[in-house]
Amino acid sequence: MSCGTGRKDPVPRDIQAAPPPAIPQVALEPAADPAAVARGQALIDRFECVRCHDLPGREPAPLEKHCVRCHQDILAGQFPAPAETLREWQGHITHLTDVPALRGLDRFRRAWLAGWLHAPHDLRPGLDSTMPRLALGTAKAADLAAALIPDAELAAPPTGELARGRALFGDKSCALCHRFSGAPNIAPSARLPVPLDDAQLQRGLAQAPDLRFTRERMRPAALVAWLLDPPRHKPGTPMPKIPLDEADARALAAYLTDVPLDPLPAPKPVQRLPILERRVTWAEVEAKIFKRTCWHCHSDPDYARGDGGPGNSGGYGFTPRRLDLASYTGISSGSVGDDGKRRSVFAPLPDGTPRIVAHMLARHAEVEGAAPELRGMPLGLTPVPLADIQLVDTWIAQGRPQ
Amino acid sequence: MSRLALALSLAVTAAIVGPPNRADACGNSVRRLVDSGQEYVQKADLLLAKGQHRKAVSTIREAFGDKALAADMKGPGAHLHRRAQRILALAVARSGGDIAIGMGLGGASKSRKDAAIAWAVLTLRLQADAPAQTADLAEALARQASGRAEAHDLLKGLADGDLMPTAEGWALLAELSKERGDVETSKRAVERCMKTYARHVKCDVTEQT
Repeated sequence: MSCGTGRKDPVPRDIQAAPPPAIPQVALEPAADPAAVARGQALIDRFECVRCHDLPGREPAPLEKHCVRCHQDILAGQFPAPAETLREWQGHITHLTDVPALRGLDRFRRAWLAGWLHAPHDLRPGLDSTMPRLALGTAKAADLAAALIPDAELAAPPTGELARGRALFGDKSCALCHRFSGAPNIAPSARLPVPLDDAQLQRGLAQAPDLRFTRERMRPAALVAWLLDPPRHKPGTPMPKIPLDEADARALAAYLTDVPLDPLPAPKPVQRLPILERRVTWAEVEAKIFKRTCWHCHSDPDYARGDGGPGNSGGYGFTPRRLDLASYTGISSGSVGDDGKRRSVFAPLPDGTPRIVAHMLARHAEVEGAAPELRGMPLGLTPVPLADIQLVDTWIAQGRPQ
Repeated sequence: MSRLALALSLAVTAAIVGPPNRADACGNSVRRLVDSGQEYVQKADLLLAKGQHRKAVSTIREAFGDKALAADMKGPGAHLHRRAQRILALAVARSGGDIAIGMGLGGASKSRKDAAIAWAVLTLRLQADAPAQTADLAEALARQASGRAEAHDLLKGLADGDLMPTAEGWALLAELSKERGDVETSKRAVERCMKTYARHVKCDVTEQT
């Protein structure tokens, strides 16, 4: 989290040098095509969005299928399991403990959402999991966005004063929760604009998006309305209602959308580490990688009522790959490819990298901002450290000792 | 008599295995700690992997009794039941039918051994939908003189796709290939087997009877 402790930039930039545009740069989005909305509604079911997100008008997934509530209940000690077991699980759970509810989505640009669903990037630096790359192309992403944001965009209000917005950004302590990467560093003021209880502050710190993306993400009129009263648009949001008048909100919106930003750093190439000289056994890679991370989605269905997780039995829109990473026998049995046939997860890709290693390296590339052809694993989670990927690579090169 | 027992075991209607308990967090991968049936099956699985066939069988029988031999079952415990059957069948194959698994199957006499192996082949054939199960089936088939050619073909297919799931599979492929005069495949299989460093598996076919 930045919490105002982000990159220092002691030299204020001449923010007046880039005058705000007089008219919106992007045409207003009309109401979504009803056919696309209908298709998108079906996709919400297919991709099982309610297994992570609360969605108005839809029943949440049952506890045993809900990736977030299950974790929250375990952390709160409310999950029906022995106390000793709960304590053990509590020590392991770091991911998927909080996700935003999908309410008030009409504040976002539909086109942005479609692009982001197709190739998600990290929006919320305080969460260590991100939206996973689902199995959808651009057309399905557009349909999903249409279902989530069916309404037309409202006309943009007059542009506010950018300099005033800059001052408000500091006075209202926005940087307490939000990172604004690429923008001049503005420390939050010593006093909060509204009182926040600990729980709300913790959720705010976790969920606050990087404001860098606001300009492409939010509809201008909705941004102003949101700043004036967030809970009215999204009940339960950790973003508080901060005392602002209309001109303040427009000024703050102008700052968020028009202040010049440093370009994003170019994705760093991901370094595949060399094969180790020492011997690596299954016990080591199982303990450090497969049982720690991969097993949650690629497990043995026999021991879980036939559901080996989305990476085995399917789910979240993924077809069943029948990949079991919970045992030596399981990983050696490979996965089911697009052609329906079993294939080895150790088979080298054209560049010589074993498939399973390439998936783990791809996750690093995704985090760096690239969009590799292979889907990065673990899906939407913190990448497996390169030194651990090196262990897997070495284990494969050594003939996969048991 | 053994054949009768086999027929009877296959005709047993779905036995009721206690429904799994509810602590299966996240719906998939977190084991159900309070489900004793699952605990037994996982323990038996580990024993089998260590080559302790007799203990693996007794662990399954402790949990399921003769229900483990029932032909099929439906419902929430079906996967566990299938797994228990697979463990029994593989223990039969690896022990050459020496171990009594119930209902007159397995034991000292040749007819009981043959009946147990026939049961194991049938059981594993019904489950052979993935490489692990296919390799298991090959192990059982190789115990029948008439099944060795099929066992070879199954294992060769797995090896060609780099999908051999066990050291036992490599060792058996080495043995079956050598038997057919395919020295190259046999040598490669021995090498792959030895690279797994599976302590309880004899990879060198010259040591095998």
